[in-house]
Amino acid sequence: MVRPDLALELLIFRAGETRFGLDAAQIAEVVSLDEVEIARDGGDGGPRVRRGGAEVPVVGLGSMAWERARAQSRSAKLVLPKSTPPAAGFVIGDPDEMVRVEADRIEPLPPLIRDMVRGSGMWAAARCEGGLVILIDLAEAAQGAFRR
Amino acid sequence: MDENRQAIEASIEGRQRDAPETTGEDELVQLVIVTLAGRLYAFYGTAVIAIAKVRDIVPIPGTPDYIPGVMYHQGRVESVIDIGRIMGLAEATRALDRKSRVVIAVSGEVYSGVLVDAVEDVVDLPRSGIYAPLETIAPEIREFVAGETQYQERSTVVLDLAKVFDRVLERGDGAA
Repeated sequence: MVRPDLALELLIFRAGETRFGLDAAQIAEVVSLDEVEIARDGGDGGPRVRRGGAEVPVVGLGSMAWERARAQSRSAKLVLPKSTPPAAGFVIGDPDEMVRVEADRIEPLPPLIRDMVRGSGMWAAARCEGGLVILIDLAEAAQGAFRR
Repeated sequence: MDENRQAIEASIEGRQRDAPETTGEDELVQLVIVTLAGRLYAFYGTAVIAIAKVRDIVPIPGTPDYIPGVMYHQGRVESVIDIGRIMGLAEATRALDRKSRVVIAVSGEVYSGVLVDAVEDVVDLPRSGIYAPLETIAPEIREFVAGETQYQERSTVVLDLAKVFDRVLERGDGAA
């Protein structure tokens, strides 16, 4: 039985036809990409931004690639998780909204999919107004990105 | 006589010999008859949990092209697999329309939606009405075939969904 008091505040963004949700409790800040200092624009080790005196590696979420994010730097956002310094920054398209989703509206990803996306941080789907939202765990996404 | 014809005749002969007279005591098997790329196929009814209209399939990045995505159905999020693509059917990429369906199926612990062009019928027929598949069956689908039968006088390939799911698990592991 799912505890009725369990819920997530989700930051929803869209990538292609898919809507994704990030747990707001994992997020320290969301900034426009054109407001951050780019420390390295690709190459070995991937792109990095400078934040809080440290170089933070950047990972695309959903289907958002760094090159595309750079091309759309006004609308692309950088999501920095709560860790000091952040383990990674994640680039996303424009966020759509913040929504609260109770745990009983969250379903695990089906077994066939779970194995295929292991390490991506995608772990569940939430039933929200407008359809399913795929939930991404930022800590797992960061670990997975650097293992690959 | 050419090899294809020999194979066909041998297979037909075997099929006729293997097919016993249907009696009232013959065990009935339920089949779900579907269309894929213009041909008839069937799934065993025991593997089918539900048949759903296609709505809001959400693509999941990092999955292979034979996984269109996930879909919500009756309290669960189901994966949807494009069985036509898995079997390499050339015409399997046609657009979804109002006849398209997702057959929710289970095999052991694995369950998934299976995208088909249409569900034609659900029928009960004697087990003896399912024959060994013809030797000439297309090689790319042979590994998924459980048998053949006739539906409305049309040859209908009976597919083993467990083998389809096995293939997906085999190919898909770590695809992200």
